[in-house]
Amino acid sequence: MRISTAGMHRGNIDGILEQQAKLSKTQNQVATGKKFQTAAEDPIGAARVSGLQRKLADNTQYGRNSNILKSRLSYEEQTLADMTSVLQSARDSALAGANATLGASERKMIANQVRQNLAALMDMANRQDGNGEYLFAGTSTATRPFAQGAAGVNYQGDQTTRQIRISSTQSLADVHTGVDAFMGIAERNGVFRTTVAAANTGNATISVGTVTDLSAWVPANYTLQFTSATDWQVVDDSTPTPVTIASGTGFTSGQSISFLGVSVAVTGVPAANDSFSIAPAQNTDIFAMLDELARTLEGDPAIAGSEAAFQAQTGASLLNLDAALERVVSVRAEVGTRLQAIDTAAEFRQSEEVDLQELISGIRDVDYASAISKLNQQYTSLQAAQATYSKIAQLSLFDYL
Amino acid sequence: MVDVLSTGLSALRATQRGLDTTSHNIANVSTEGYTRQRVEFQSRPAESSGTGWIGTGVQVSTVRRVYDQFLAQQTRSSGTNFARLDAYASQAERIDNLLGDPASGLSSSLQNFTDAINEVSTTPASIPARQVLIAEGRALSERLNNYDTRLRDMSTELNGRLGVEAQEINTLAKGIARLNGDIAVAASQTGQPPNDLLDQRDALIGELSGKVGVSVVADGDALNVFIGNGQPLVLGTSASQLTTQVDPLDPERTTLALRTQGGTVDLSRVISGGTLGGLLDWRSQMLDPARNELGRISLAITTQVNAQHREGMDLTGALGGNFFNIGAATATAATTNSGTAAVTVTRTNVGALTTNDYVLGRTATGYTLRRQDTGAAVSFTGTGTVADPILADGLSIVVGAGIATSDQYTIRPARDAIAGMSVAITDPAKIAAAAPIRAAAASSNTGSGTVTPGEVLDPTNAALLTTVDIDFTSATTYSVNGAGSFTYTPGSAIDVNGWRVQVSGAPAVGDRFTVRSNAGATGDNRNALALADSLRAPVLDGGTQSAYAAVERLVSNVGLATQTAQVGRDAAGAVHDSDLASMDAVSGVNLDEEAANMLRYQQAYAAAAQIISVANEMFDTLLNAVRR
Repeated sequence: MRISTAGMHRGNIDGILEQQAKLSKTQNQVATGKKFQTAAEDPIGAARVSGLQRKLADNTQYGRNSNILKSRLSYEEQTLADMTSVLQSARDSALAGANATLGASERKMIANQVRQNLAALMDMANRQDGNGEYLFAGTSTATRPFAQGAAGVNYQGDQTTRQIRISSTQSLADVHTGVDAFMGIAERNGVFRTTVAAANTGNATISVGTVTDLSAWVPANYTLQFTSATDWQVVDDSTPTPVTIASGTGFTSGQSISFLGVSVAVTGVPAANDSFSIAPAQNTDIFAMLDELARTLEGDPAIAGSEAAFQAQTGASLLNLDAALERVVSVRAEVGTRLQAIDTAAEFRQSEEVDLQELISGIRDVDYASAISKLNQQYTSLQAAQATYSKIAQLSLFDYL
Repeated sequence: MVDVLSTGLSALRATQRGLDTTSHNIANVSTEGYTRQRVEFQSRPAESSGTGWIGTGVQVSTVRRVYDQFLAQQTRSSGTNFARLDAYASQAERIDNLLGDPASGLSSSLQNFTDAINEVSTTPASIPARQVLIAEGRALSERLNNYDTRLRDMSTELNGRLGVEAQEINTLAKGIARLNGDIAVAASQTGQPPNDLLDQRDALIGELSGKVGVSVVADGDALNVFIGNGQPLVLGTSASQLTTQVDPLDPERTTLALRTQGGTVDLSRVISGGTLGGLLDWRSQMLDPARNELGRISLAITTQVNAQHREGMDLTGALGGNFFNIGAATATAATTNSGTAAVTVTRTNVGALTTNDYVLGRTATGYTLRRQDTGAAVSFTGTGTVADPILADGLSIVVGAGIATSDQYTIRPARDAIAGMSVAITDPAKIAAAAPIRAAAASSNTGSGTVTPGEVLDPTNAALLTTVDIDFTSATTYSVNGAGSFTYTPGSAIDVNGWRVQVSGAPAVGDRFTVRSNAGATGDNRNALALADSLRAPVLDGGTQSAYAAVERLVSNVGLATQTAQVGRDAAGAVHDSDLASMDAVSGVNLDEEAANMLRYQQAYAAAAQIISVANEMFDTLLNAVRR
């Protein structure tokens, strides 16, 4: 084939330019460590990297979320631990106060301790986190959740628990609301409460009672009446005519009286027409429980002078405190599982992050070994093209004329 | 003897022409578009004598261009194709560079915005976190605006470039027309081809075919040039004028028209090939769709975020407003309209929006709706009145009074969305991170019933924030605000005043659940969580694409289109190079060849001179013989 002089030069220059472009691209890859700089060089890869980077960024955000959540939950756990010891101390006070040898003034001193315990509990329940948000106010974090009202402690927060996302699939509940943590605890034995009628003339008291068969229990108000010192009957409070549920004769002090799957013990000598009420247990809160204990120790006018009634009240308070401790411990256990879930999620995130980084790197990052060998190859090609061109370009017939 | 002298002289003259032509070739070795020339020799007519026909020497019949018409045609057409793809690819690379960086692109702005929402969801009461969210919202809006402005600038720049290209084409066309005239004159004067003029004309036509696709038809000595689908650019010695004009349907863009003696013809749809064709293709296939898609993405983001934000409650206890402002869909009257009707377009469904622009046309009996780029008909319902608007592709179009037959309006659903995009909120307290209502069980409840925190179904319900009590009148029935008796099924939805709660468990008689305004719940993050989710929710394309997915698709589509254009350009470049090489092989000057020719003619010249010398000696010999 015939080749024109200009064509030969152009062809050679084009070849050299092309080699240079390739070399420059490979050099750019080596310099940046990336296989492609824009989406045009690898449209599919760019879209995948973008998606994977999004997951990576999400993971980072979930990590930040987890850290904030973890610090709040840890603070809750710390608070609950503090509360456990305060409740424990209140329980010790109740036990000490129940000692029959103590006088009224000594019991008052113990009552003061219980009051201090109550104040400490209030402070703890109103704790704020590092950002000044109340821990136990639900989502009304700017509202002081517990305040002393005329009829006891009022909860002023809300019942919404914040959910925090800690992975793409998992949300965890934040700190418990005050209601979940400290309120709505069933009092006494959790099923019914017993009280001594104020008008009683005998000195008999009634125990807190136990449940023997919960399925037989029908929640309603019942009255245990003594028609004489030895004859008794249990009637329900249905109107207009109360129905007798159970009755007996030959009562002796300390005897257990059972009906509808529950059992109460009456100790002492009842007078005729003395009565005791057995009503469904109410829900109460730990502040009311301590308040009740303190009031009993201070000498509750309702039971003034009756050691038997006092004993029954402190016994009930002990049961209450056990229920309160149980609640605090179970909430604390729940916090523990949440903290554990955070750690598990963190481990999962870390391993996912490694996977994502590897995937991104596989798509986007340059394999230096092959890139450098390619660079060398292209470098050699360019050198060869330049060398041969400069030789060939010198050839001319005119030199021999 | 005289014959020897004259034969020698003819050989001297002819080889002289050969040397002339060879040196002309050598001189033009680097001239673009030069075709090598060759001297055609011919023996002169012989003279008869008694002993036979005696030759009388040589003469030059013509100086010929070594030129292959077919190769030239092929090179022109591959050049047109290459120029088109080259222009397309280099413009495509600009969009790709703008959008395609996976690290710093739109996707990362969107991610930062989502992260900021997440941060607010974790610390809803924190004012700094809320300020960051506003700042990231602004950054996202600015990033989108930045892209939109850059694309708009590319469009404006293209308008200017079309004008420049048209000017150059006009200059080339004039040159071709003038050469047509010169060539006709020169050819008729001598009867010989004016080789260098022909080269010049071919070079101009080659340059022209790089600008725009042309077809060339020979008419005697003249070459006629047509563009588009047969519009005459050069006819003999007259050239038409290519001009730019404002698109009557779109004041923002320029189209091309040809001004001939017969009037002005719109060329925008028929021009193909060359730089012009590439630029026009790029505008309609890449630039406009990319702008509209960006607009659509911004609509997906703002619609989702605004809708969710309005379902929330801010720190002041008020319901959330719009988080983002966004530009409305537009309808522009064509400059050719005779009517005065105002057309209003509203978006009814972001999921049904496309990246197309539309042209609404008035006929004698109704309306037509076509795509602006392809002209394809789009199906619609409605008659354009307020009561019965034209509904098509997620748009509702209402035509005001005063429309005239054949009036046209350009409908752009997404083009101006970004230009009107900004963050509507300046006060961090106004970010609605909380849900507007909360549900709670009364503390006196004795049953085991629990209530969900509640969700909003209709944020516009006037009674949304009114306190509502759900009282259980028995274990299986409840009343709402003391009224009615509804059967209780655990876990089933209770919908009142535009909200929904679910009660589950076993509530006891007299148990109460209260739903009230969530004012004061500064730590509530329910709406912030929903906001973050809304960006991931599929909304575009009939609810199949999230805003995120749309961004990724846009980047990858632009990348793919650019890659395709680059591959096409490289392939077309290779084809064009090989055509050029083929033409060069035939028509290009080879210096070694010319050196050999020079040698050949030089030797022939020396030999011819020798003939003269021999003739002289013969003459002297004869003279000496007779001198006595």
